[in-house]
This record gives sequence, C-alpha cells and structure tokens, in this order.
Amino acid sequence: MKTTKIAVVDDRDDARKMVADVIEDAIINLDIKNNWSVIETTPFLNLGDYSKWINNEQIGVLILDERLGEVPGTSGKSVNYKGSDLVNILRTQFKGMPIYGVTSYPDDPSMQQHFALFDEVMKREDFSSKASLYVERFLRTYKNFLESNEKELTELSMISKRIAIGKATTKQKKRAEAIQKNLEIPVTTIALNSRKEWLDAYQEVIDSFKMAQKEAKRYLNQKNKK
Amino acid sequence: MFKENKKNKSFTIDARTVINLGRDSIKNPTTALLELVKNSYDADATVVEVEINKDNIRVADNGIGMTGPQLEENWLRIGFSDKKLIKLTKKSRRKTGEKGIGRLSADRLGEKLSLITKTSEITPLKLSVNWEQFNVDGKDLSDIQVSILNTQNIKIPKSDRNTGTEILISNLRQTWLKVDIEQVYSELTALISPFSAVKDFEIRFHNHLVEELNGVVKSSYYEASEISLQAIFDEKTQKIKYKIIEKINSKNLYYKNEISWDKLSQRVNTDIGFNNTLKCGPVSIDILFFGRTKNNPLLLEKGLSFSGLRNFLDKNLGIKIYRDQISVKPYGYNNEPAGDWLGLAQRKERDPAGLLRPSYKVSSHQIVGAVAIGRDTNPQLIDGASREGLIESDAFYDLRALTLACVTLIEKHRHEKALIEKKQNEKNNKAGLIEEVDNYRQNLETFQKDLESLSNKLGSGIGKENKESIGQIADVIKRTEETKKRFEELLDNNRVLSGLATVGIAAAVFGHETQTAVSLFRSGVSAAQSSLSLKTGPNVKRALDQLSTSLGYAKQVSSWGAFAMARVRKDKRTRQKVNVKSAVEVVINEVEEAFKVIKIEIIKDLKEVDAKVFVMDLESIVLNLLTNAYTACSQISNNRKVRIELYEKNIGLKKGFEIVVADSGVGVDKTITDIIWEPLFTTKKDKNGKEEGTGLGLTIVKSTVDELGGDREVTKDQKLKGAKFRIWLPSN
Repeated sequence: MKTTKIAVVDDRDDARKMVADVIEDAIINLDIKNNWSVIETTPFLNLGDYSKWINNEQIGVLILDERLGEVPGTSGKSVNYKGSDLVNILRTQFKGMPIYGVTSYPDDPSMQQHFALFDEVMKREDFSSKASLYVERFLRTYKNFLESNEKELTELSMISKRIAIGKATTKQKKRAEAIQKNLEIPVTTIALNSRKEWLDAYQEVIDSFKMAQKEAKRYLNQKNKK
Repeated sequence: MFKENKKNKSFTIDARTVINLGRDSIKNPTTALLELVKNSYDADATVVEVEINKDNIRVADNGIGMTGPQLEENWLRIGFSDKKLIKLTKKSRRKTGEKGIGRLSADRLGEKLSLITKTSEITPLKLSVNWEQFNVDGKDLSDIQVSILNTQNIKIPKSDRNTGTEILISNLRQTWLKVDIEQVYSELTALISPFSAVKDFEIRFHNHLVEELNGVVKSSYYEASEISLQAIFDEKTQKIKYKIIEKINSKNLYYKNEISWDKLSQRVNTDIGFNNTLKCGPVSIDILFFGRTKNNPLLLEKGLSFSGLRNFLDKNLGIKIYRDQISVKPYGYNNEPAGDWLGLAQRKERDPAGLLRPSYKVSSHQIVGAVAIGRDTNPQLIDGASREGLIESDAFYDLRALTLACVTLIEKHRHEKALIEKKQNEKNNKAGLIEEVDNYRQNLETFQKDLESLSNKLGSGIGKENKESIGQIADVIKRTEETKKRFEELLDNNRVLSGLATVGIAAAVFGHETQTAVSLFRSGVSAAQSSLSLKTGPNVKRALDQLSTSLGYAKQVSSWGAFAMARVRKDKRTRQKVNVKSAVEVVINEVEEAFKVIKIEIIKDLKEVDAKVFVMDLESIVLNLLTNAYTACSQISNNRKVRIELYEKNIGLKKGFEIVVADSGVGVDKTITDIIWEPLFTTKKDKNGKEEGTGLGLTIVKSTVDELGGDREVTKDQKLKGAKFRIWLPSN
C-alpha cells in the first residue's frame, strides 16, 4: 500500500538526514508505519519541479530548511532561493497543505517576513528533541486539512449535480465558486448556470448552422435554374 | 456698467511690459551686456567691440546689420525672433537666443539707446529709444513712438563687406566699478568656449578703469594647464571615449581609452541621481587641471606669471556648459550661487583625501572646463523658465553625473601617477614608520656628535648659548626615543585592534557556520537518544552514526573558540623569525571546515619561507583574504574554488615573500580596484542589493601591508576567473 509521506527539503546532507531520522523514529514509536513514511531531498534547481514531486510522491506534510542555497547539490550547483521563497510559491498551489520550517535560524529576517505562510517554524534542536510530539501535530494538521478538503469536495459534488439539472440556487452557485477557488480547482461553474443552459446554447448554434445550410441550398438552386 | 460686446477682443499691452521684460527680468548688468554681445555673434560678426566708458557703453560689431524693414518688423517687434525659424547663420553658427527679448536688456544698462546699423545695400539707419518713455501709467505700448532716421555717422569694426551695428547706451543706470569691469571681462572670456571650434569671433574690450584689461579678450592661461581631458560621450553605445593629455616641459603624453557608462558610473558618488542609461544625449567634455604651483614649468615656457595664473583661475574656475558654443549661466560661474553645479567644493570638503589616497578628489579651484551640448543634438536639455539655466530634469542630472564622472578620470589619473612616482622615489628603500623614526634619531645623534666634537675643538670659546643648544639636541634625541617607544605602543595597540577586528569580521562570516554546528550538534544528540528509545528496540547503529556526526560538529565549535582566542596571543605581537608556511597553514586549517561545508575547494601551493614578522599581522592578512574569498565563492552557485600560494620573492635588493589568494567568485571590477581598500567600502551584497559586508577587512590588510612597507594588488585570476589578491611583505 502506498503511504502518505512527510518530506524533508534541506541542502545540507547531515541536517536533512538527521531530521528524516527523527521523523522515522517518531513514525515507529507512534505505530503509523503502515500509513506514513518519510522522504528527503536536496532542493530542486527548478522551482516548477516541486508541484509534480508533491503529487507523484503523495506528500502530505512538507518540512523545509530556510537557507537552502548554501551548499551545492548533486548537480554541483546551489539553488538561488530560500525556504521562505519556496513556501511563498507553493502556497499558490497547495493552499492548505501543512508546511513547516525547521531551521537553525528561526529569527532570520526573510523567515520572519514569511512566517505566516508556514504552519509553524521550529528551531532544529527543539524539533529533534521532541520529534514525536511534532509528528503528532503534523498528523493532526494533515487530518484537518484532509477533512476540510473532503467536506468541501462532497459539497461541491452535490452542488454540481444540482447545477447540471438546472436546480441550483444562486447561493449554491456562489458557494460552488468559493469552494473551487479555495481548493485551487479551475472554476467551471461560472460561465453557464446549468447543463440545460449549456445544451440550449449548443442547440442554438446548431440551428443557426442549419439555417445557413438551407439558405445556401436555396441560393444554389436558383442559380442553377438561371 | 460694462456692456457685453459680442465682437472678438484682443489683448492690449501696457507700455510698462517692456520694462518688465527688459530691466526687471535681467539679473545684473553683466548679463545684460552679454545678451548684446550674443546678438553680435548671431549677426555673424567676426569682431565685436565692447566699450565701458564713464558716461556710456558701446557695443559695435561688423555683423550683417539690419535693413529698415528688418528694424521695423523684427527689432521693434517684441517676442519675435527669426532665430526660431532659421536656426543657423550664414556662417553656420547656431543662433543663441530664440525668445526675441534679448535686445530689451539694453534697458538694464542705461536709459537711452541709440542703435545705428548698416547693411551692404543702404545707408546707415539710426533708431533711438528712451526707455523711460515706457515707464508711464496707462499708456499702450503702441502709443510710444520710436524714430528711425538715416545717418552717416557709424563706427564699426572693419570688414570686407563694411556692414554692422553700433549700439550706444547712455544715462547709465549704475556707476561701473573696477570689480564690475573685471567681472564683465571674466564672463566675456568665458562666453565662447575656449575649447570650441569657433575661431572667427573676437571680442575687443575697452574700459576706463582697468587699463590692463583693454585689448582682445583672450587668455593665454588656458595653455598653462598641466593635464587636460577630452571626452566624448556616444549616446548610442553609452560609451565614453577619452584622451588625457599631460603636458610636461613641452612634451605631451597622451593616454587614450574608452569606457562604458555602467563601469564609469561606479566612480560617481551615489548621492547624485542619474540613470543607468544616460538620457542627456551626445556630449563632449573638456577639462583642464591646474596644479596652482609656482614651479609649473609651463608658466615659464609661455612667459606667464604665477600671480596671473592665480588671478585667471579665480575668475574662470569651474566647468561651464556651452550650448551651441555659447555659455549657459550659471553653470561653472563661480560668482553665482548655483555656479558649482557639480558640487566639486562640497565633495572635496567631505573627503579631503590626499593624492596618494584612492578617493583623492581635485579641488574646485583647480579645474576649468567646458561641457558642449546643442539645442538640436540635446533636445532633452531644456531652458529653464528664467533667462538662466536648464530645467533640472533626468537628462540634466545625467549630464551632471557624466561630467562628474569625467572629473574622476582626471582624479584617477593623478592618483595613479602619484603612486607610481612614490614607488619610484622609494625604489628599494622601503622603511616602516619605526624605521623612519630610527633614521631620524640616528641623524640627530650624528649631528650631536659633530657639534660636540666641534665644541671640544673650540674649547671655552664656544659660548654659553651654543652649549645650551647642544644640550637641547640631546633632549630632542631623548624625546625622539620616547616617541619611538610611544609609536611602538600605538602600533602594538593597533595590531591588537586589527587582530580583534579581523576576528570580528571572520565571526560575522563564519559565525553562521558555528551556529549551524551548535544546532546540529544538539540535534544529533537528541536524534541518537531517539534512536536508542524506539518501541521496537534500540537502533544502535543509527545512534552511533548520529553521535559521530554530532562529535564532528562539537569539534568544529570548539576549534572556533580556540581560533578566536589564539588570534590575539601576546607572543604573536612581537616580531620574530617564523616559518611563514606553518603560520599560513594554521589559519587555513582553522577555517577549512567552514569552506568544506559549502563545498569550497581550497587549493594550496605553499613553499617554505622563513621571515621575521609579526605573526598576528600575517594571520590578519591571510584570514581577511580567506574571509573575502569565502564570501565571493558563496555568491556563486557552482565551481567554488580558492587557491592560496606562498613563495619567496625579492624586489630589487629587498628580500621578501608573496602571498596570493585567488577565488572563483565574481571578481573585482577594474574601475574599483583602488577603492576596495578604503574603509567602509564593500561589494558584499545580498540578493536584494543590500550591503552585507563591513568594509573593514581589506582596509586592515591595506594598513598592515603599508605599515610593514609591503606591496599589494588586486587583479583578475586567469585560472579561477575571480579576484586575485597579491600581497608582498619584506622578510625582515
């Protein structure tokens, strides 16, 4: 069975491995090994690679270091962004996803500036000494995130059905739009209010083509007669 | 009651308008007189005579003159100027005025004007104006009559075509004093740029107060400049081609070069705003530098006097703007409040650094120059609303920055020349401060001995006063010895402070690594504890790995503590014979771990060198250079390398050794290689351009090397492509 993952991103090998180890120990101690695992990576040179990686690896919780660009990775190059820059970008796509900062420099000005974008910023040594407690907190946050998402997805499904049969109220349509925006799903329910309306519009286009066809035939017939 | 009339109405003009536009709008009589001379220039005159007499002022030229209709339709039509329509004269001079009110400036000089003009076709015409006729209540401008009559009496400078205009102004509004005459003369010398191509416009001056100023307005003192700079800015390429000419005993040395604005602009003080791409249009700049020294050989050569030069500079100093060959006031006019438009005096006052300092600046009273622009070539530089100056737009600020940058080229040239001269003078005879004091003391001792031997020879005939003098010399020698000791104490203090500052700078850079090491050490211990207390049984192997990692970080932390303490040990503050290679290796070993962490490779090429040095000085130099290299490498994403070399090298007869620290960072631009040694100058910036460095590291290196009588240089490393610092120090 594929497990949900807690992912650690850090440019320093020792630091990254240490965080991954204590999380793995916590997973064992919390007896959730069947559902959760930990993976680690050096920062990606291309910021666009994170989105695919998060989806492919089924990552539920993300842990970032702040100073990601100090040590060159396996490619021999260091990245030119910080953890706080990364979280700033990730939040546009993964709005409610639990993202934590683990760093030796929680007071770093850029970290402070983007503090609100993290679910929490922890000092590295504090995190290592109380890893089990923090992992429990990760799981709770993830659960809330998931429940909130599931609840909203169920509601959206119900409203979509009503829109399709043309029975959705204005309030329900607005709610559907809000959910789609919140979950970063492309808003599809705004242009037309129901499937019926869409079909009507489609029919209109077909009718206009039929009229044009008729007109063209009549013209050709007249021309042939002459 | 006013009744509305449906017919269109037009403005009427009160006679006093003439006074407002003329007398009231011209700031001073000098400017008014210059307006009339400018009109002669626009009339293609080759000669203009300017006379200031006790009772009248006369301006006469051999220009094209005016016909009757021209007088009536142009001269008498206020606000009209054909200069707007026809911008060039027949002699291809760009006409200077366009507003059509310059002629009213005559009112500023005197109550009555008599203008006699002659063209090639007609007999002279005479126009008379009494400006006071306009100074009446309720009269329309058209109510005042001006007569135009034929005349035969005209006195104009000779020319082939025998044409021209003579203006006589009487009932003068002010009594002219010697100081006013000198002012007018000075402004007339500057009216046409001495650097321009205009050679066919001569101003002949005559006055009744300062006889020595009578004659052709010209100054030979322009030729007494020691250095001249000619620069041309190309708007398209944004590059400046320049030529520096150094005049020494009739021999001219030429230095030609080209520099892009983005590089040259780095030399301009940042409090002067300007654009990265200059918007001022094409500009040519000429600057003359005068040393103001009596022993200027050019004075003798040209038969000029030093007092004359001083007088000339006092009147002409400043960099003026010439638009289409005519000066634009107030720029470069030292008697005007806004004359120092480049802030030359202020910047010198702010940083009075001497010639041997890289930040050396010329004094405002040593510079005469001209910035040439044109109305058609520089349309972005627009006239101000008043009759003087340009609108302070982006283009104007760019022009200012460009001119100032050209001044810095002369400064750089002089500074570099002075350094070369200094080195030549010192040759192989380098001596530190203490050595200089020692030499001084030895000279005094020899002098004292000579005097004592003389005194012994003379016996009692030497006299009481002379005996006292010998005693005083002994006292001076004693005090010199005390001074030497005091110097040594101060240098020792300085050494400790430099050492501590070096530790501080290194702490700011490597301290981050230490903080990480502390954090990882503590985290590793916690991680090991966690691995040993697993529900499923202890994971001993992992715990051992984590403890091993922790131990590595613990060592890093403790070595840093020892490093800081070791820097200022007392034994390192005495000059002693040491193995330089070992001393350099100690410093490298102490910081190498920090380099390794961010994957900077240190390449060592250290030869055996023995020298008598202060270890603390040596360590300060090496540590500051390594700290610099660390920062330079951390700013690039890959291929982080630092090379450190040590080898023996003798300069002349002086034995010594050289330390080279090169890196693969972004390097030091050629234009700032002299400034980087200055206090508080830093190139260390974060990704938002905010300065991060202290700007002290290289200053410490500089002062230490200079104090030891060494040599230093920064260039580009051909192998690693970054900066290469080369330090030479004497071995004993």
